[in-house]
Amino acid sequence: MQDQPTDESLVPDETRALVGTLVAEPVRAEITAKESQRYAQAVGDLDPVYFDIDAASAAGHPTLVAPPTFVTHAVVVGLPLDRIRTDGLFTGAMPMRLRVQRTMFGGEEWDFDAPVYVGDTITAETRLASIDEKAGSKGPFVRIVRETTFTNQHGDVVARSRQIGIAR
Amino acid sequence: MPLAATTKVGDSYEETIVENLSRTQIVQYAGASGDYNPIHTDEVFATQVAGYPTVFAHGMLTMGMTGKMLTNYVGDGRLTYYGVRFVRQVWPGDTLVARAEVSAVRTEDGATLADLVITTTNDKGEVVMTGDATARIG
Repeated sequence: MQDQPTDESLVPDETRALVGTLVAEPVRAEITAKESQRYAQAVGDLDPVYFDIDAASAAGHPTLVAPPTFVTHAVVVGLPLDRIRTDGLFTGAMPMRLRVQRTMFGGEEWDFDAPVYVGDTITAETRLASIDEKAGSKGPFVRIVRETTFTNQHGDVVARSRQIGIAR
Repeated sequence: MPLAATTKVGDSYEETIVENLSRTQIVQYAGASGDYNPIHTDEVFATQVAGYPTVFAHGMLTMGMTGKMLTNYVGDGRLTYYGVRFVRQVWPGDTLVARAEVSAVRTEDGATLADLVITTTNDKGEVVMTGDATARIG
């Protein structure tokens, strides 16, 4: 192995130095009715404000509403099959070295600051928010938090999400 | 039925968010979300390569389905915070019940907010996801 640890840390200094920096290029995407509705159908959420313009108007919205958690998926950029990694995710994220065997998705949290509407253009910027080594019952692990800020075409932050990864 | 200003600590709501989760729904979610990890959709990969008993749902699918219960409870456009932790895998065939209980009612910047504790449980009574949420109620 090229990266033999010289100390007990699972997090190389070069990785620790990435805290606060962008982990991928910013992504911009338009919220489309079809994609928003496909997401709503997939999670079984058939709220009329996502599907029926009259229902959205009656609820006081200017147009169709997107489900709150859809914004995360709206900014996933489709790519050809040869750019999908064996874990099914797209290549392109900036590499981050850790001295671990496996990483898992531990959870996610959002702040919703403003509604997201069909027709909005959303820009997502993801930074490495924190990376901490912890002691667990099954040994040391690393808690990685990436924070994404979603901003609409008016410059308003509509949501912020934090994705929590666990690596050991 | 949205939460009202009369909401108090201990009030709760629950909803069956999926019955007998189908593999088709998992595939539908993979397409809609753009998460093509084969561990969720490819039986051979999940069992023979990754060593799981079968494929399992994306954590974010359970989160999204639980989000439906939340917006049904608090009303559209009122959710200000939602956070989840994945506790246990969700398998094809699972039936899930998502529950929210009011843990606090507070005032912040002139708005009345309710904090909720969320638990999503499978039909064996095992917790698969826990979380917290905050909604504007007045």
